[in-house]
Amino acid sequence: MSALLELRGVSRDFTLPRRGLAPSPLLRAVQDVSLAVQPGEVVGLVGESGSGKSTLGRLALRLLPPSAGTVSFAGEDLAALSTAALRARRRDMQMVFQDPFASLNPRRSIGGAIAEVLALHRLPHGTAEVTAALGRVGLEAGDAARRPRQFSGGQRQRIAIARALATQPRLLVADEPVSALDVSVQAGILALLQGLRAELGLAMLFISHDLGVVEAMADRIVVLYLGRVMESGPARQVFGQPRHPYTAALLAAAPGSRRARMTLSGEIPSPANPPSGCVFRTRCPFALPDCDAAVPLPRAVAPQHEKACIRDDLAL
Amino acid sequence: MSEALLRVEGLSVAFRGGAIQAVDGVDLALHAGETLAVVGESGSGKSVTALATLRLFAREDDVRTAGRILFQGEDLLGLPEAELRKRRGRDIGIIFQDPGASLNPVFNIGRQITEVLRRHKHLPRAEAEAEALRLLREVGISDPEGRLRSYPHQLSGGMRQRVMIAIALACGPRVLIADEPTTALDVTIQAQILGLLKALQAAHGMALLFITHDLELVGDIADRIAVMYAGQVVESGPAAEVLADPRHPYTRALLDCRPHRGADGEVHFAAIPGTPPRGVFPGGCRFAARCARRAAGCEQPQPLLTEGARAVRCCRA
Repeated sequence: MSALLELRGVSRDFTLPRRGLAPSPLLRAVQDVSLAVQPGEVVGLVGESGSGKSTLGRLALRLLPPSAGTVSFAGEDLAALSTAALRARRRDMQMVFQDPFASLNPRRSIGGAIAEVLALHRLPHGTAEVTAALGRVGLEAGDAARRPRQFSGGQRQRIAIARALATQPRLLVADEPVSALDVSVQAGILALLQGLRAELGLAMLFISHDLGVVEAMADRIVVLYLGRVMESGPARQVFGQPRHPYTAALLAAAPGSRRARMTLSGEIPSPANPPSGCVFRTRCPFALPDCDAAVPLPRAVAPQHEKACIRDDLAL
Repeated sequence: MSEALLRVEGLSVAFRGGAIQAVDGVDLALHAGETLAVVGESGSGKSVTALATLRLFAREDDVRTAGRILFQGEDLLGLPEAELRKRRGRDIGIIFQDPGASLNPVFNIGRQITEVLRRHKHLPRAEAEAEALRLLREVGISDPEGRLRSYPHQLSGGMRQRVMIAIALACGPRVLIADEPTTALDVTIQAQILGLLKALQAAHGMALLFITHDLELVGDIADRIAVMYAGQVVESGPAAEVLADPRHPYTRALLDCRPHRGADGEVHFAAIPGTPPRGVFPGGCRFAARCARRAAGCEQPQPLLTEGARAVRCCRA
């Protein structure tokens, strides 16, 4: 089976404003990341701030071009596509953002917002299609004429999902889709996404800082720290038996965790000035002098399960 | 039980001259040295309760309050502003969710800590600076000498929250109110700040009023818990008991809606239909419209019934 989405050695730098006469500093948001999403699969992207998870989501859809590496969709290198061909491709890959208040035009009816997306992709965009899109997320035909402000946060996120799915994409990138919502409303959106996934065979890149939410949604997990992949593998294995010290610390830090406390000292370093060698070594309780020597490469610890850590002697 | 250090009695708060009801008849008691977590979703009135304790409202809010907030037997709601100003910071400290918004961007950290010490404790400059240094060390800030001259924007979110905690602790308050102190922080930094708050509480014997939307955090930090919904306390009791055996359907539903791995190895979660009411509340049980156990009788107003250390506002409990 060939991957639906494949990132190979993808990096993305941002140039920061220069200070004085020194050359402009580079912020290395994403460094040498490889990952694949199979058709119908949900891959959870986990990380704290500065981990590059949102940048990676935008790279996956070529909303941002990579500084190095390739992003392919259904075997096709997105960089090789013309603007027109890329626009046509976007029909198959859509995105849902964190803030449903910012991602909907307040002056446009929600039916209009959905019809607009369909029209852009030269798809039928009449009342029947709009009603079908709204029905998919539990809204009614009568809601089409209403404006975003007449809906609650959870309903607005449903509208954003309806709009993203209107073109019947094969891949949905969901960037913190429930983080702005009350906990009692979050579960409804997660259940909706699960149902849609089963119904439409949708593949997802599901980005979140909330491990509980990712565990509920994802088949596979990719753990990011300072722009690099620390660990990746089947969700059950990564959550049940983490192999990288950072993953173990992240799981232990989650509220209500029953794992042994493992509080990390220190701050998350700036991606503008990441540590040499293993980027996690400055906060790692198990760091050795060798961790500074080279960037650890991902290596297999079990089938489909990789970690980027030189130590094999840890009981996590 | 010993007399409470801070006692909230029948607190009601409404905005815009009464048009928007935020808090409606809340009773809370906070004892010396304990942590009480007030848990609720947005619009539940949990933060307004915290703000009312120190009357931290803007004039244009047009706030109407009723009830009493007793600190060591004295009603804070009735105090003149000048008297209350002396209590803020000295007897009762407060930290907020967004430490970036609470710090003044144009003054360095040292100045913001020494200002509190000079105003409330009337320390001379040199002593205030020495004390500020000691406080920064106590909240775990590395290179405290250098940080005294840093400005807020030069610090990370976790570091800024440590500074806020140092300012709140400056005068040795008996009560620390923490309003979502870790919500804006990354999870590994959140764990650090919670550990710090617990250690400081043990060292100083402070009472902690911990406001949060996250029921999962409560088990890690609280002795007792009060769950708020639509301006009212709907359940309260010892944290471990409430989490293990919630009696109000809302508390139960809040626990169930977070993804958790069940005995079958699968991840389960259950949505609560609908959204919380805000500002204007229904006459009967305020959760009834979303409640799976709704029955006849739920359209009546529900009193908070006490049984031992626990209290619940539900006729079906």
